[in-house]
Amino acid sequence: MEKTKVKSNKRKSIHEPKMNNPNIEKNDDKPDLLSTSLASNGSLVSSYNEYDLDTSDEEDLRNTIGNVPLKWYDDYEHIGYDLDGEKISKPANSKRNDELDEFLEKMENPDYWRTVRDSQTGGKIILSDEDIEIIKRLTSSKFANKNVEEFDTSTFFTHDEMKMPLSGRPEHKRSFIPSNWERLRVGKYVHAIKMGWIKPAIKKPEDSEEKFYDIWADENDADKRKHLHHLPAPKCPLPDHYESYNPPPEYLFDDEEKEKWEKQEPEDRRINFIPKKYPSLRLVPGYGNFIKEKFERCLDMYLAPRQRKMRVQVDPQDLLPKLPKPRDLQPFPNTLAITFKGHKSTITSISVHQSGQWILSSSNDKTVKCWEVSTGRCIYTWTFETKCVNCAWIPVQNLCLFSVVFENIVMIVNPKCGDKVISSNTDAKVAEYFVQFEQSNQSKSVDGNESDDESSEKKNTDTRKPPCTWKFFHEKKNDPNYKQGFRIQLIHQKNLKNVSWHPKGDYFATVLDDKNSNSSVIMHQLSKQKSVRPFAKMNGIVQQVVFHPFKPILFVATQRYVKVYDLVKQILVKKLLTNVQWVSSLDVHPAGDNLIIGSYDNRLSWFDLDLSTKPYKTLKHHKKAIRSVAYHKKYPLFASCSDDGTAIVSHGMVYDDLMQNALIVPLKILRGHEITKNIGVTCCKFHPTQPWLFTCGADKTIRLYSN
Amino acid sequence: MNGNMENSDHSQLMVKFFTKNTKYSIADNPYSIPASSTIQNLNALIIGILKSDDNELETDFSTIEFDFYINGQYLSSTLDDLIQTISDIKVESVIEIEYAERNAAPQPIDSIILDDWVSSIKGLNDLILVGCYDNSVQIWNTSGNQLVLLPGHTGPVKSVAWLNESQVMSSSHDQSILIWHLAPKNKLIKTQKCVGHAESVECLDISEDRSKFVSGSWDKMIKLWNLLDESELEENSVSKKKKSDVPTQIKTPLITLSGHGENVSGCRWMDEKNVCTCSWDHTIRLWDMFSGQESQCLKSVNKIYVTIDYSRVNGLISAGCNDSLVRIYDPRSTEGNLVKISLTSHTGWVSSVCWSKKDQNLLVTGSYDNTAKLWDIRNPKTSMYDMVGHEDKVLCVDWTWENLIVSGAADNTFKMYQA
Repeated sequence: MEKTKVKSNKRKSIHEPKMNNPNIEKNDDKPDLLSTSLASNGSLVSSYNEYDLDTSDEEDLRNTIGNVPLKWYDDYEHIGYDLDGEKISKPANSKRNDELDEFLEKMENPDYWRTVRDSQTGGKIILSDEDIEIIKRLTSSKFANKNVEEFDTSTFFTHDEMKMPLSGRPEHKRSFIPSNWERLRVGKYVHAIKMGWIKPAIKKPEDSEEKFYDIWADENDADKRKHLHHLPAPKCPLPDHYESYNPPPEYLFDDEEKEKWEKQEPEDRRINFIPKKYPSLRLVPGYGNFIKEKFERCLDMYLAPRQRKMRVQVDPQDLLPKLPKPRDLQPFPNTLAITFKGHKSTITSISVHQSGQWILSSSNDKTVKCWEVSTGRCIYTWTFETKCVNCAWIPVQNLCLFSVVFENIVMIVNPKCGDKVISSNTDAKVAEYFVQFEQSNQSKSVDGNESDDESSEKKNTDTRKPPCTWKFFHEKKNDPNYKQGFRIQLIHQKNLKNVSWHPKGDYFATVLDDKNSNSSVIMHQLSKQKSVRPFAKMNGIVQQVVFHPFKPILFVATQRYVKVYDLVKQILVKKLLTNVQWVSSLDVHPAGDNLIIGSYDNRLSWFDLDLSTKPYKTLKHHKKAIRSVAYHKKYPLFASCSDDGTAIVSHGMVYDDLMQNALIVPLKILRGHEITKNIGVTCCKFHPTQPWLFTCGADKTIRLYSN
Repeated sequence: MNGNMENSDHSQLMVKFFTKNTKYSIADNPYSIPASSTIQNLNALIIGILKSDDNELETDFSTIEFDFYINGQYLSSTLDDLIQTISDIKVESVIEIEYAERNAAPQPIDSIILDDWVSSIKGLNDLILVGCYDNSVQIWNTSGNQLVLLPGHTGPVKSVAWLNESQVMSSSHDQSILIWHLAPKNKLIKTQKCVGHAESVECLDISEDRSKFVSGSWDKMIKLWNLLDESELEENSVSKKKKSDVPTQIKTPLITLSGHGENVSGCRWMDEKNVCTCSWDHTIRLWDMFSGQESQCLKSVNKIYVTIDYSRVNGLISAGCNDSLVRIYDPRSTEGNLVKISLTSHTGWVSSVCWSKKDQNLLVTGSYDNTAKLWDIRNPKTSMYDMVGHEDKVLCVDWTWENLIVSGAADNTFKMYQA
């Protein structure tokens, strides 16, 4: 036992350089590294933890005998030679027992079953519990390390897109062939060793190395870390073009700039010298401010409080609001389905019939056309004297009428399309109005002793001029206008902009194209054949008026504001500040609490009447003036169309819950209209029941975008 | 036989060929062919086998081409590609490939220019019934002669149908359906006017036994009318037509069915009892006409149905939608809501569909993208043949028993093809 060199000592010589003489035979084993136990037969069996010691398997192979059976050394004291050519002694426990000893050990040693012989050294090793565990796992075809999950594919298959995906390409053949280069290299080494050019490393006597005492060893980590906190000095800006001795001409000052530079205070100057051009670097004089600037820089660095800027790592995507994807917000109009062709000039407005079967369009070619939606077929055409500005269906099912605006006239027309019963009922109703109108007219003319009762014109006896005169076409006179479907004509004093109908179909409001008049809004009542000016005074140019879908409220869009009037109390309820230069159009959500405006300065603003008088959201997606905006009656959609030739459909969900604000998501840019004379799309309207959008434009077409 | 096929280093497949047409049947031998074979390779193979069998060289094989199907799926690119899409085929086993003679391309016969848009078209024998947007119904023959012109509607004609060679029907925007009775020399004897709809009548279809017909309208209603019961007809005393001495009779519907929420855009008899209708309210509904009840409702996702047709050969419903798809449903399946096949290659609303009367796999469609297409439903990705030539929206197509395909369009023409 004494004469055998313990294998583990050699290990120590590798791992513990402080040990003085590793080759001296030792039998007192360090308990922390080696836990040796005396076997019953007296042989020393080491059961150290192999994995604490070696860093790789190569460490063991310091025996240079090569790949020969160990039994050739059975008769020797040593088992081979180390790197320096010294003999390696056999471990103490490597002695082979005879059969009897073997049997006795088998009977008496409880660790016999876990004792194995090291094929490298011939020593016995008692396997630890972990080793046995590993062997068990390996024999049952599992991973050696129990921390490895066997079928964990999560690291291989992730939802993340990889820039360099794993390839299933088989390994190249050359990776299996021994490297020729390596062979040559090894050959060189072998030759060098043979020739004696490479000598074994000369061991340094380790004693010679002086030892120092680390005085900071017990200083705590916190103090150390404090000093490690390095703050870099602020960097000088890099030289710019104007600092060159030969700057590009645009950096040189002209007289104006020079004068300006000279006038400025030295602190305000962007550049602290005048750029100047020299023909060669040799001619550049010394820089006068050099010392001063360097001194200032030193002062800056000395005095400036160094502060580490905490940069927040923010993904720009996170700053964007979380909006649902457009494809989750189906249905919405997204493809051009039908083009309605037939007009000869810019189409000014369109209006879709309640049923969704017909669409009406008014155009600058002095016509109004009625189209069949499903095929794009023009069914009727009415011709008027001048350019038609606006057309609108009456928004009720039981009447078949629409209004056309041209010059200063509103014409109410019965198109005789759709249900014939409704059409004839409408005619009957208009005739009834006519009778009423005649009677009231006569009574008035009797009162006022007026003589011109021959015509069916009506003059208010008010002191003020009447806002407009009514004229009925009727069947009896065999009027050609009646045959065309014309029923009522309202002649105003000024040219008109548009007409908007009350949802119940009895009232309608007209807007005069008049910059000076205080009363450019006129309200008409069909059943009483009366016209009134609802507002005594109105600041700003009125652009459009819209009735609330079910409350007696009128929305008036002026150039800068949207005014909300209560028609019953006759008061101004609210004044919405649009923050735009010029409002072009207005539409009210079918629920009545939200409205959108489009403006000539490219902006679309959404107002929540419950929220504030300022826009809840402003969308600036159009590149040119917005001409028209519209809400869908059934689907949570709204659209805007613009002079840039596009219409934009957006999702605008309004919740019943008062705590939740509307959700606005732009969905789709619909293109197709050509820009003619700088005018793109003039009007957009939704289909009443389908998620479809109609647009009309200066390119003389109406387009239907369907889902 | 095919040197280039054997040289290719791709994997080989064991295949067997079979056909339903005994004229072209070949011996039931398995062949080993490369997986990368295309339809041309297979054609060459089959024709080569046929030629070697046909000793007397009776038939000329130069013009014959075959289409190939595996499990009813059309072979469009290579065998390999198709087999990968079919799950229950094992590459190791012998694959059975069906081949059938390719349908010849429809041959254009004539194109006839009318005065106005052609809204509806129906063929019978060598006669073609045309409904026109100028309020007229016209009968033409295949040689391009106008036989009859029937003015009488006061609105554009939306739908037409043949009752027999001397009786035709038409429905119009003027909310009525007219039944025209013609004498042998195409002289109008009398008309029957069916009133009841409150909006334009968009579609009509006559039952197989010619005893009743059904109509659908923009007023959301479907009406069933009787054709046989003459006693119900009453003389129209109120008729104001002074110049025409043709008697007009008024007819009223048997039943009115409500259920659709929007325009009823198409209706079709499926058998003696059942009718399928499609509507703009995104549904196809099946109706039992004996009880007057709705029996089934197939919903789509936000797409309107523009047209519908039912094939008596294969029992499938095909419907044209506004998203340029033709959706094919199987009304017999329990999960009827599921689209069986979607035919995708139109780029506009599909305005009309018509199944072949004889072949269970063929149908023709017309679309607002100015084309009519002939489809084999085993190949839903692309059509077999595109019939281009119309310069505006194709509004109607029809495929008669005599394999005459007619299509009418908004360019004022209708075209005839021999399929």
